[in-house]
Amino acid sequence: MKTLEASEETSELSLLRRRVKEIERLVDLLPDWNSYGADPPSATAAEAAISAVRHLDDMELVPDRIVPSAEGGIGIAFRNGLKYADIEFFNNGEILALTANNGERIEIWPVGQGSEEIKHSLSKIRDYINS
Amino acid sequence: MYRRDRPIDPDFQPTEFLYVRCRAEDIEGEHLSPLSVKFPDWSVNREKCGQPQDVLISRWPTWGIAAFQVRDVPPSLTSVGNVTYNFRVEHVPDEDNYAHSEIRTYRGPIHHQDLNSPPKLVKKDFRYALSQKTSIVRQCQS
Repeated sequence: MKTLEASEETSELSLLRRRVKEIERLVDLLPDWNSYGADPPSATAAEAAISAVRHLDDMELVPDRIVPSAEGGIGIAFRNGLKYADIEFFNNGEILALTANNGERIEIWPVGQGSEEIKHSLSKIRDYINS
Repeated sequence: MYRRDRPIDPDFQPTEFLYVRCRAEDIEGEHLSPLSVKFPDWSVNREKCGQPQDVLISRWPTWGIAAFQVRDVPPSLTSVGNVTYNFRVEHVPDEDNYAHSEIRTYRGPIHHQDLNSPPKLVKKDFRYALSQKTSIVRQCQS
């Protein structure tokens, strides 16, 4: 049993590490990576996104995708059936979150740049996605 | 697709299709991901002046193509501060791409390039709304 628990812990750790690596790789994108002039994600955006995936790991909320933003930055998106949410970390440090249902936008809100503010918005997304 | 001295054609029918190229990572279900929509002045190719696959010439042969219609572009959005931003599709031909057009943002008669950037909330609202109107007309080729 102990071995199984240890294995599960290792697996969870690996998942978190994979997400962090995924974000770190995005920073290495070249300018114009989308062929429409998008900037690669900045270190500022990456740090905030990494903070977010650590919170996600704690709250057992699984993102659907972690992708570079066409606006410059990193987006983390969530989906549960028709429910969609994302949190977008822009290169200048700004953060915005959005929830939507079946193609209709529900709410967009600015997120403070502190770790606790990011965590609060992720909790809000989790509650929405899982409701 | 070369311009060859052809004039700007300002007439867009609401049903005219606009095309953009996309990567597999840009596609979210049946639509373009809102995170992959650029704002403002998003470059597109217009249906009237070419073929959808023209957006792939010549450097992106394996990419996908997303499409939406002129009428899908939200005409306007109003910020929290009660400033209204209008959106228009304009034909902006390049010498090597006559179909090139842009979705441009205006505040009154003033193009956004002469303004402070529209608020991020307006941008995100626009990007989500438009993303939901897109469809994928060509999947990425592996």
